[in-house]
Amino acid sequence: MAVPNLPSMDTLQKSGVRRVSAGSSIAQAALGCTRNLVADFLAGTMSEMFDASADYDAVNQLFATTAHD
Amino acid sequence: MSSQIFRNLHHGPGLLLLPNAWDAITARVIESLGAKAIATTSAGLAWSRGYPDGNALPEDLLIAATRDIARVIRVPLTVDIEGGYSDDPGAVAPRKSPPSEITMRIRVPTCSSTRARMFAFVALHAEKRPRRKSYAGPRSTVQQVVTVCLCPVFHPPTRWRQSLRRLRRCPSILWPFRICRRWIRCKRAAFDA
Repeated sequence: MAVPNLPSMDTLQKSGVRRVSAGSSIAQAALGCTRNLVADFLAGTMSEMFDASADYDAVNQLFATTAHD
Repeated sequence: MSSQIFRNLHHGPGLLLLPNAWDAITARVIESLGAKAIATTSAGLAWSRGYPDGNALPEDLLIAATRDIARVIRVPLTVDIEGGYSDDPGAVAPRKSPPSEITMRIRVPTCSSTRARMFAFVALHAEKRPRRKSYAGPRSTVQQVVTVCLCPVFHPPTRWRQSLRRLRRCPSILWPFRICRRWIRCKRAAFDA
């Protein structure tokens, strides 16, 4: 699992490691971003709200082709 | 078979990089970026359902969340089900779109250490745990990973005592992350089996 100060991917692979996961770090980054944007919004600021936005149509399209149920 | 595809991914030229999703949309985003396989984050998944990480998420909610994810992706999925078991082997696996692998983690906290952070992992063969195999369903690989964290206790003492008892029955244990060759061999054996 990826943690701070993890050896390089190259070192890991040479040690025989086969896979690396990001663990909860992506979720935590998303929550950190959420927290910051909400705090700004509640303080009356929206200056960064649209900076790193995922395009609405692009996201919606991700489910347009998931037809296997 | 998805689980075989997933196992084969471990034998490619580079490391298998597993981004971690916690719901259907994050899984689809990850897949759309070209990930060869997707893992869940037990913490993210539990939080998204309103539970803390650490074996608090009810099993039915975990299964429902797994179904949500498995339904919308085509790449292999490995699901961290923490310490989950089923006393009813036939009851709970998401049979329609079972994940390729289910990883069960048992966190065993010990006293904190000021030395380098170390983690211990033990990989056990699915064949040694028929009950977990039943949980996963016939098309999934089950790997049990025991994580020993040298960090302040964050689980109730009863839980980690159970984990310690389980740990003592494990055939091989990795201690420091840097001295991990035995673990690597054990892991290799688990995937090559």
